[in-house]
Amino acid sequence: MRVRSPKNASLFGSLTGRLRLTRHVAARGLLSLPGIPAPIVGAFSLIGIVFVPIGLASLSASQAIVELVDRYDAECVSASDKVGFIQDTKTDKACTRTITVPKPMKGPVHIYYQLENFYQNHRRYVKSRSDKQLRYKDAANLIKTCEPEGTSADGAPIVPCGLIAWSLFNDTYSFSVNKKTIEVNKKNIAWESDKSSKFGSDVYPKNFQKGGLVGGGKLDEKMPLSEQEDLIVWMRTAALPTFRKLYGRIESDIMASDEITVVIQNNYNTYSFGGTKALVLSTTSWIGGKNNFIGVAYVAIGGICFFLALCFVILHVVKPRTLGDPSYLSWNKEAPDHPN
Amino acid sequence: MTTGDPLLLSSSGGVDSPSKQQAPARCSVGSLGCLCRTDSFSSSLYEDCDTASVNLVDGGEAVPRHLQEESDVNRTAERFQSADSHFFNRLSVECSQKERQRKVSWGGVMEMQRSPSSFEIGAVSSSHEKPNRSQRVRNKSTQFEDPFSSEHDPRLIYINDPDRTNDRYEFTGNEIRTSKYTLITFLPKNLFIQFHRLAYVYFLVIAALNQLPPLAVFGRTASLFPLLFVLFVTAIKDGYEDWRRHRSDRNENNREALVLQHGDFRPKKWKSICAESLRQNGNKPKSGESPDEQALVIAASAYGYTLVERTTGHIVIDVQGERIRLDVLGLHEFDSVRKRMSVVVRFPDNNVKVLVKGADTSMLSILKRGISDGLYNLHDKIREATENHLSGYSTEGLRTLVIGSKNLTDAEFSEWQEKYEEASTSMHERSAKLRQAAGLVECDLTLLGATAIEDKLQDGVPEAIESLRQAGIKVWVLTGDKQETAISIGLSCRLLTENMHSIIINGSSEVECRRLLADAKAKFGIKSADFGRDSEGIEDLCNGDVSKPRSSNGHIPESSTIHSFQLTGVVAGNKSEHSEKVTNFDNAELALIIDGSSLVYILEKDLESESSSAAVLLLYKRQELLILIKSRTSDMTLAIGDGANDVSMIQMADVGVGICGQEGRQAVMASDFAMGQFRFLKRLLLVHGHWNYQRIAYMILYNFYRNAVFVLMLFWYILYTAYSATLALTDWSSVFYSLIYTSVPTVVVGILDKDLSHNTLLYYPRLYEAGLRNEGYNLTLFWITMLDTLWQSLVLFYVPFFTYNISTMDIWSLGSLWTIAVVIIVNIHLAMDIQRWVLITHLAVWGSIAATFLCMVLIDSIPIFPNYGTIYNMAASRTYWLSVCLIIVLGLLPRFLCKVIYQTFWPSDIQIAREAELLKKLPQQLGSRPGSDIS
Repeated sequence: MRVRSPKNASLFGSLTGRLRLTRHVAARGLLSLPGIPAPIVGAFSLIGIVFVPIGLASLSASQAIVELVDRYDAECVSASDKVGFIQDTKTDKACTRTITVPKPMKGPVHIYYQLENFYQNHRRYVKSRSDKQLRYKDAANLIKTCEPEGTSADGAPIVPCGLIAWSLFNDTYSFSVNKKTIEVNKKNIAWESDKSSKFGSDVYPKNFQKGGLVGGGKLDEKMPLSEQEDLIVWMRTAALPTFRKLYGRIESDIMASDEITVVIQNNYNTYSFGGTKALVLSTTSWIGGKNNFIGVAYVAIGGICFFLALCFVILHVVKPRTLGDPSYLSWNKEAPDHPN
Repeated sequence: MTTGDPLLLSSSGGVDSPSKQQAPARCSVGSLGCLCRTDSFSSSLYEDCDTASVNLVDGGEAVPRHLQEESDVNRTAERFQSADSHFFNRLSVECSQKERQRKVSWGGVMEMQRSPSSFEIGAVSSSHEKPNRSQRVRNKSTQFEDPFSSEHDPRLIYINDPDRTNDRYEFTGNEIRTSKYTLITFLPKNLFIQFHRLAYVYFLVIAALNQLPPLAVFGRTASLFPLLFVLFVTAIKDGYEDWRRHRSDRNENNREALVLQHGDFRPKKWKSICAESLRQNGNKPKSGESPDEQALVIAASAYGYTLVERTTGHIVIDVQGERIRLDVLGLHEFDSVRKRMSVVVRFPDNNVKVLVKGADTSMLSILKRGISDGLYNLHDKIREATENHLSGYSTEGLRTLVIGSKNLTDAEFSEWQEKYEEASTSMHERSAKLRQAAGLVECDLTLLGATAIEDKLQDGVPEAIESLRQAGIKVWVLTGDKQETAISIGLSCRLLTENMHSIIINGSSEVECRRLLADAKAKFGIKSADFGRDSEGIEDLCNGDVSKPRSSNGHIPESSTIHSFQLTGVVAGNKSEHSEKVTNFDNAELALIIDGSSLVYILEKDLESESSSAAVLLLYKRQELLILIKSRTSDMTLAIGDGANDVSMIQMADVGVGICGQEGRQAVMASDFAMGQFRFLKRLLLVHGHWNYQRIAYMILYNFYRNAVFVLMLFWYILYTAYSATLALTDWSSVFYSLIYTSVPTVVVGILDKDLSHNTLLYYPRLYEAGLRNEGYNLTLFWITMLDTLWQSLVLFYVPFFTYNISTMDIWSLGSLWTIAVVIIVNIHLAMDIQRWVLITHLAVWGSIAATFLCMVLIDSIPIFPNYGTIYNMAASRTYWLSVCLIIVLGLLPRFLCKVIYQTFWPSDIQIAREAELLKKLPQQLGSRPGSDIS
């Protein structure tokens, strides 16, 4: 702390303050005229440079995908009592839908079913499975986590047990393009890792859908779990209440204005909880499904960053600051004659 | 060793000290002022005086002998072969560790009582005086404190006679054990100790609750993991420490020591030395407890009066080559009531004299009043001259003592002796009785003279104090010295300057204090906030000073800036009534000096409601002052001191700093930080204080953020799971998040980050003000951080949501995306704020991200987990990586933008200094500022 009389300080202080100001202006004029805060502008520009192209590429990839969505749950039930209709095992649930292809679809065309308002991510639903039982033949009795679908009516353990397997989706689709039936490839619709390691090749369904209340689809008791790909797909529970699951693939190309006729066995009950069902046909690209979000977000962020970089350049010209100039230190501003 | 054993303390201190005292300061002995006109010591002065009671022999003996008492130099006083003693006008004595505030310590005599012989525990003993307080070192052999104890005292030992010593008492060995555990007791004992902490019990309860299925949040094993992890790490740490203790004990116990056995010195392992095997100490000079006393003894020896031997029973001094033996008949130690000490000795000519030394106020009142006219006149003259000298010395900042003596008649002596012996052996109220006995002889003294000792400031004290004041720290100095001495000290350490207007409050009554304060206020135009309300005003000014340091200045209205005034310095010695309080108003440049008695009036008034008595205040004044400050303000207090009398203050303060000096280790033991010299305080506060403040402030905000962003992200998901609280993350990932994924960078940055280099911080002490202004952590900053947290959590949740809504995305894949994204964003968030990148920081930050990937790969490789194989499938997806990238950039963009805008257009002082440092605009601090801290 410097000791000085106040009078002296103010006189001396203002003088040097002015001197310093003059010197500062002079220095800026001569040396640091461009004086752009390079790292900041650089960082923003870099983000812009990287993000905009990625965004554009994503957008174009997403735009190139042809996606046909046909919601059928309402149309396929003509009765007013939809729940009663769907729960009646004797009625014929076949339902024919016709879709006209607007743009050519290059094979393979993925077939998905899409459920809405179906909380496969509900805590109790997610936990209602026995992974050991799915993998090991001898673990059929490990059904503690499967409540309330652990045992059949006579108390025998269900394989695969639990709510997830019990509620297996069981609508089926058969396709014909321009009245000509085409094959749906239902192989390799599940993850390879799930088939090879998660679901046992020596574990066979037992007592499945033999409980008091029949849920969804039934399983072929002759086929090991590792080959029940619909089940495997279904048991990768969806993260969000509106989801799609892969049903199969159409390997051939579909031309524009082709007419696809789908015969749907409308078995699955989404009516009791107000869910919807839709059939989705989609081509794929590197981005996955059709979703503009990533592309739009990348382009937007890239643009914002370019804008910010520009702003910093302008602001620096309007209100410049020499980096690391001690005269900006708060005490030097209030008392400019400080020895520093 | 038993703590508080002065023999060991001083002996070990002597050996230990070189390592701790990096730069021994110099202190010099001032002139030994005597009765007569010159300041230089001269025995002939006494001849000039030619009085009945003061003669050459008395004078010649009295001073050095007196000095000898103060010293505990045993047998081996420094001998200055000084034929021409007048030559030594000023004599420098090397003594480390000088502190301005130190009172002359009279404790040396106490110590001598306890060490009747000059035996010391083997010279090798020094290093097992461990600085670690918690280590209890058992050593039964060192406790020979009381020479008056009976023969059956187990502490009594016989040199070179083990059987006799060990006859009744079992000194089995000398083995030292500082370790806590053995291999067998480690696990149970360590667990027992660990579960003493509440946090562990909390974790245990959480883990126990998770074992119950309806309450389980995580899986059973996963919920146990945090507790086991912490227990395991702590156990490893404790085990390692204990292993080191075992090792050092082993080294200690197997060290060889020379042992006197059967009249012969033999090497023996330390652990097998029993109490009887003591090694006689050679002519090892023993340092006095008080450097003042040491200085006096050495000075006297320079003038030809050498202390040769000192035991409890007698003193041998060498007076100009002639050895004189004086018997010590009794001793009255220093106490804070009398403020003096005295010794009763028998001279070779069988005269019995009492010699008294003490503070001038306590001595001048018990001096002899005129008996006969002639004598009165002379004595009066001497007294007048001495008082002049005393005030001269204290103005120079020297520390003064007055010495007096009295011849005791046989009647007086026997009366005293009776009382003294009764008091010495008394079990009750011993000190009061001893004081009464002292009162018998400590009266009607003949003034012999006065001594003044210059106690030089340590290196760098003025610079340190100046820096601390620049940093906006209010520096108070508490000293027990005289007012003049205190002012002089204040000037020399630049606490006070010549330009300051001093307000000296040294009234002897409350009314007088009040008047002085009112005068000062009127004179300097100080207005305190509540001054108008209370016309009495004393408390207002003082409380105003203490409690509202920023509000009560109206002296220069136009410059009502941040530091309206500073309180700088106080002193309130508990030994002397001459205490001092120095207050400096920054704008007005005022210094307030208050002496002890005035302070008592003020404090008494203040603390009336707490029903504290004045006596308590006197005894615990330093502590009380801190209590006052702490109760009236929200300011943080730091107390620094080196003496035993500073202990209460050090303990009371928020931060206690002990200087390890020659006045014992009590201050260090009581302190939070111990340092070798005062000037290190500057570095402690300005550098380490600043660093720690910045780190802790940031870490608080960051840890709030780190946990909140994770929990909020999980919370948003609940809105889309029919409010069923599903966890998309695996149990293990949610447990690992705070344990493995993000913990290490927190620790590393919290320890290693430095916003500015120490050079810059020392160069601009005012950078410390950032902490005083709460720049690092405040409510605004907290809410801004929380807002940022909210944004980031929304980005973390909604970017994957919008990317993967209506898709085949399964719950475990989304969980894995969130895990990766939150870990990366949290670590990059931290990386954006790290100021100093070193290898370990890089390892911690990027290593954490890598460790997260590794953990996820491991977790997803177990087939019986529902999430099996997730990461392998997701890592092959480009959308996955694009969304991680998007989350990070979008999440951190607002923060980055605010940060750069703030830094560019509203830079903080720290930011500017940092830029200057990076652009190397700062002058090289060490060269440009002489005398600055080099450490």
